Amino acid sequence: MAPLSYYFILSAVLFTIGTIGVLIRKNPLIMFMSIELMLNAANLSFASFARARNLLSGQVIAFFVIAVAAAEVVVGLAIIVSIFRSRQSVDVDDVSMLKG
Amino acid sequence: MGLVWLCLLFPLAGFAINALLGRSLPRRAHGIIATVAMLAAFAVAWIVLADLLSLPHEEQHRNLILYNWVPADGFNATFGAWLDPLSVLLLLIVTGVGFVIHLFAIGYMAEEEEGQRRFFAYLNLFVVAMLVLILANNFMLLLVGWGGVGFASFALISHYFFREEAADAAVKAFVINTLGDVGMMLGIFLIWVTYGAVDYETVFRNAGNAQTGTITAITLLLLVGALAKSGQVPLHTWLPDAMAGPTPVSALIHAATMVTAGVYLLVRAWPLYELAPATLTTIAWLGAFTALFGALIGLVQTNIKRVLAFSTMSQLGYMFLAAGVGAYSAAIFHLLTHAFFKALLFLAAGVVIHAIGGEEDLRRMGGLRDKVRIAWVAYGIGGLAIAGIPPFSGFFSKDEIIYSAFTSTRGNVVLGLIALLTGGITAFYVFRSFFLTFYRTPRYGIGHGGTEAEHGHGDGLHQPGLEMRIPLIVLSVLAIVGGWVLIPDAVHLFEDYLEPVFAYPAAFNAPVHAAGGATYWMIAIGAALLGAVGIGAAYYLYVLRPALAADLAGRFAGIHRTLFNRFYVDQLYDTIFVRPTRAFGRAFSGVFERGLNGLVNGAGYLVREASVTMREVQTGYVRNYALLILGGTVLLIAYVLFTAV
Repeated sequence: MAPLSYYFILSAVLFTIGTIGVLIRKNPLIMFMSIELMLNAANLSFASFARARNLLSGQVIAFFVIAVAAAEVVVGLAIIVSIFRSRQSVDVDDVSMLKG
Repeated sequence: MGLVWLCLLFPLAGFAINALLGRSLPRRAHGIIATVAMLAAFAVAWIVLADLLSLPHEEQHRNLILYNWVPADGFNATFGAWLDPLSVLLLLIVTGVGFVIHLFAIGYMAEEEEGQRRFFAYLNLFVVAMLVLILANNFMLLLVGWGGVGFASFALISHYFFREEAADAAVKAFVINTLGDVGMMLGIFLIWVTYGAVDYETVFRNAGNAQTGTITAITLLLLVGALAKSGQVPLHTWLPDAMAGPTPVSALIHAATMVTAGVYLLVRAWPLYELAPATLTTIAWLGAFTALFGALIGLVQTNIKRVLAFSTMSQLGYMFLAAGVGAYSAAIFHLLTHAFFKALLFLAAGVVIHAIGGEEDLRRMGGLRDKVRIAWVAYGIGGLAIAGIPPFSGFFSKDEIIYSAFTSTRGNVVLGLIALLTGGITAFYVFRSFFLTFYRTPRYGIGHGGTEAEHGHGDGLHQPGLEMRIPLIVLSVLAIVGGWVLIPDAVHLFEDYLEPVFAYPAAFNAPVHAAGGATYWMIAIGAALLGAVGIGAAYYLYVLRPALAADLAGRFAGIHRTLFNRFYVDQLYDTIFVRPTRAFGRAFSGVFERGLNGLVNGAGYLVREASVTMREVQTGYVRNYALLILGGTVLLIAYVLFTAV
């Protein structure tokens, strides 16, 4: 098995890619995918720790995260669909009505 | 005996009906409701009197307790009535004179469109408060009535509140009376500290168990309240101004009843005053001074109601003088006759004022003798009574006081001479107003066009209706015969009646002055002659030689001006108290305005500015929020990492 640090480096890279994706992309679907990437980076860390320490809880938490991510996608996609219906566009910069 | 509560209940019901349901009643109904309530209370008062007189002499003091009013640890005050000949006499005066004045007011206020309901409601409320004051069985309840009449007086003086003069007069009356109330409250506190109780029974029975100095302090503090309520120097300035109220109010509150509350208090608390000779001396001198002071000012006033107001002040001075020399029954006797003749004078003046359309200036009256004959007769009878001409009531009551001032162990020749001299001046100034009003040529102009057809009189004067005539007739009769209940050497009805008041507590008795003998009659005849001289002088100056009066006023212009300006006491108070207080208030209002407002506004400004800055963060772009969340998370993690070590 590869050293533990490799997994963490991979996890950090994945997380950074996801973060940058959320921040710079305007397409909400891509942003969603980036968020999933960040979540899975976290899952990878959980799983690695669980494996290294021989604990079950980290793996269980990874499953929880996957479940929450699925629920989040459902809600998020529904929002995106309704935004698209009301303004015929899914550009997130068009949706800035909350500006103070 | 228990029926006495009905006396309170009837006017209270009248007040409640007029105040709560009055809006849906017709205009004429207000006065009738109030008057009927008074009549009922008056009738019950007679039953209470009969009950009281059926008791043996030494038992004529009853403490009727309705309920425990303020039960507290170590302190107790009940809501109850103290019934003895004194309180029942006052009960009869207030309900009786109150009733006729209410009746008079129906006619007097009839033309008023608005405010009748308010007027009669407050008039009833005043009677309730006055009866609480009179019937109270302890000092605390007395204070409730005391404050209540002060409020009713305030409300009724400012009946025409849209006139600045009336509103100012009401405030003045209230402020000065509150000053008196504070003095009285301190007195009551001291009573409680000293005797451990505030009810009359305990306090009077243990009156002698305190140091003379303490009793003197108590009596002086109570005196402050009495001085303010009864318009005595130096707290008199509100009384003349109070004439801005409607005339029935002046008659009832500022002549016959409320202002006599001070005298009532002194006589009610006689066991305390008897033990404080220094206070009694103060009262006697203040009373004598006020009597003379008021009479002198009354000489030159040009407003008929103000003349009567100063005469009220002066007559109350007589009562204080009587109480001060220990002649308590004489004070109450004069209170009784004064209630009759002064109410009569005011109502007669009211008829005149009503007749010529609201004019109160003596210089614009004249020649009304044949125009309003009933007012002429009534004012004449009232004038003769106050001037002390036999056999009118004032003769007996005033001479009783003058005699006491001369002969009582507490009196002396100076007090007696002041009282005697004031009697002459009183006769002069009252008849001055009488002659100026009813004699010589008319100097008034009638402004009311519609009245002629209304009343069917060619001269355009408002003639008084039956409801105004009956009170004048009743009070005229009383002003004549009211003094016959006490004729020295002949009738002792009044003294015998009041005797139980001064026989309780039995530990010591008030000195009884059985007036009579050659000295009394010499003084009485002298006083009557002096009164006659006063009337004659007024007749000479204001009917026969009016030019001479003006000439005299011109020759003694300095004195005239001083008297006319009421010895500048108002101006003095204005300079010493009113203006500095106002300036102080203004200065402080500036400080508070800037200080407190600055604080409050500053808080608002801060929040607004902060939010203007902070809202810039809310761009509405999702990525900005995401970036902020990221930044926050990084900072949080950094914090945890760097502090956890």
